[in-house]
Amino acid sequence: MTAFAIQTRTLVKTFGLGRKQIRAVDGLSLNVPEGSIYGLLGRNSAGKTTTIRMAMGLARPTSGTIDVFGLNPTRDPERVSVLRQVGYVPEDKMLASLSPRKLLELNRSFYPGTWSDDLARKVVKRLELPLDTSYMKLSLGDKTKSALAAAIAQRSKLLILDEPTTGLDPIALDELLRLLVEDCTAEGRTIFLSSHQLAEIEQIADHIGIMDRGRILLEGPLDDIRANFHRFTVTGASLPAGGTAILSTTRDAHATQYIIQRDPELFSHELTRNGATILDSTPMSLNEIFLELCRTAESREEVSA
Amino acid sequence: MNRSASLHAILIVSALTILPPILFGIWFVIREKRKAAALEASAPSFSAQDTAAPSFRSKAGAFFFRCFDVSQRAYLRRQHFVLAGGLLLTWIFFVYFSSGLMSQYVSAYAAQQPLPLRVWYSYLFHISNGAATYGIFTFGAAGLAVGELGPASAIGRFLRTRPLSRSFLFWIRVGSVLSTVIFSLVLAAGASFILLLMLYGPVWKHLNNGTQPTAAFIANARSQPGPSVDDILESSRFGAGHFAWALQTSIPRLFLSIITTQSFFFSLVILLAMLPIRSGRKKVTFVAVSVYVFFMLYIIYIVVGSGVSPDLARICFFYVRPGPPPPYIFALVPIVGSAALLGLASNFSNRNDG
Repeated sequence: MTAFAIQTRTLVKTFGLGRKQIRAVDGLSLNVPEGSIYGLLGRNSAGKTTTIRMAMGLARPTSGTIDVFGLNPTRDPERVSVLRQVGYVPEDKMLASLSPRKLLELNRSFYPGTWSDDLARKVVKRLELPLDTSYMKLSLGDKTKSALAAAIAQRSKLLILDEPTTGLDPIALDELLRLLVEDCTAEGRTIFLSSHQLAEIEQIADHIGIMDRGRILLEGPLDDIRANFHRFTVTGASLPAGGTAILSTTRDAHATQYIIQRDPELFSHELTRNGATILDSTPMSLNEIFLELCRTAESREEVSA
Repeated sequence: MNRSASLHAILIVSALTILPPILFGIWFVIREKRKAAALEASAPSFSAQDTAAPSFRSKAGAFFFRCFDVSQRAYLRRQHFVLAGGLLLTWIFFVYFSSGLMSQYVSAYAAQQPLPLRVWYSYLFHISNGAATYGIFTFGAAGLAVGELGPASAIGRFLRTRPLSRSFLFWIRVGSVLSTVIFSLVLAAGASFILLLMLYGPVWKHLNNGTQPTAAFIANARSQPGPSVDDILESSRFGAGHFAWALQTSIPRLFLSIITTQSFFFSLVILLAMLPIRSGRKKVTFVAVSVYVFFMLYIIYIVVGSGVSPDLARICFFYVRPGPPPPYIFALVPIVGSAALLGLASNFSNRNDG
């Protein structure tokens, strides 16, 4: 049985009242397996940060539940137990407005049992973080590195990173991804990171969740998703009009294009059995899957509206 | 005694006023230079202090810290910044409390009266009249406490994501700042009183030179119908009013009133800051309104305490000028009020996370 680091059930979070009410998270059900690198993808205002804030006990759900290691992070004393096991990099990277050295020293004092000075030095060196620059003089990238160093060296069971690549140059980004894979997951830790930088997530994540308008559009192991999503370009007289496997259909004068979200082999088999000609069949990149899911969700929303 | 005592008073009070910031400045410059040199010499590393196993200098300290887990200890250790601020506050209060001992103030009251009476009255008058000054520092101290509590500040957000319960964060922060303010007031009061003894001796024992009305006379006059004895005494050109007030003033209750009143206003600021206002624009308006409310209430306190409503001042244990003190029992009013305000603020603080 899979154990989950984070699990949500029909989670809802609204802000404001009456007409001005915004549903930032709208019936979200997430399952983040322990030991995974889970990438939560979504456009701006998809509800990623609000979900993370609820996981950190910084926001209370309007309805539904959220569990971190089976504990409720919104209520003390369970919240304290959750925070003991979580390293966190917030979206704004504003951690305590201290120089990196002071931030590391302060953070170490809260986690003396798990903190690793060696790991902190390693992160500082590999990310080329200036330790003694005052917070006011730090660039956005350096603030990100500082927050990352503090969270990684904490060696918590779960690392929650909200847009951890903000302001990082390509070299620092590459170093960070390697650090996360080599040092964090090697010890069986769970990494839950949100981003809209799909290329980076695709490099390291083994599970992904795609969010839009507060809802989860897709969730699962990345390899399964890649294997399931296929683009078919076909011609023929009796083509299928719809089905649960078909995410979207585009017709032009010469051919029909299908985006398939499960069982591409079965779909291909059925097409050929019905006399269709498959002109092209290609697996899809994460970027393409993401775009297709978001566009389909948007068009469905417009139709229902 | 007069001339040399005055000279001594000027010298000692001036030295105590000016020397501490100079010494602090020298210490700070040396500390920063040492720190910079240490940083230049060292490779990227963290301080050698082993935070996993903190050592305690005293058994009492060890016993106290054993009650808390490591994260709580880390947060408690962080409160030493508050203690550093408390030293500064003590010095400021001390300067204020002792200012009445300066010879120019002492000689400003009824020159016909003996020196002990003038010294004692000047001392009491300056302490009791400092309500506005104490209020500003109380407001600042409350702001300092709030700065680490709410999600508005970076350090506040950092601490809210460490393994500390919300109520622990609230009570330790508010408790440490409030107790530092109270401790600073007590320490400054004690130090100023010692300075008074050093400079002029026990002046309160030598108030009556035989030409003054006795306390019994004043008390008796108050109970008789006719013109108010306070008015008669106050209008006296010979400082009889000064004598009467000086004689009637209770210095423990004066200091207790300063402590209870400042605690009440401190708690009021904490409550205003903890009210759950989430919208950014509303928050700015709310902060402005809160500051306005605080200072309006503070002005009302000073006006009421100054004699506009003596009964209300007594009940609220306001004591902002020399004269007959309110009974001790009324000190419970601001104390209970503070506790209620802080209880409410704690409740709001626990619910402040969106």
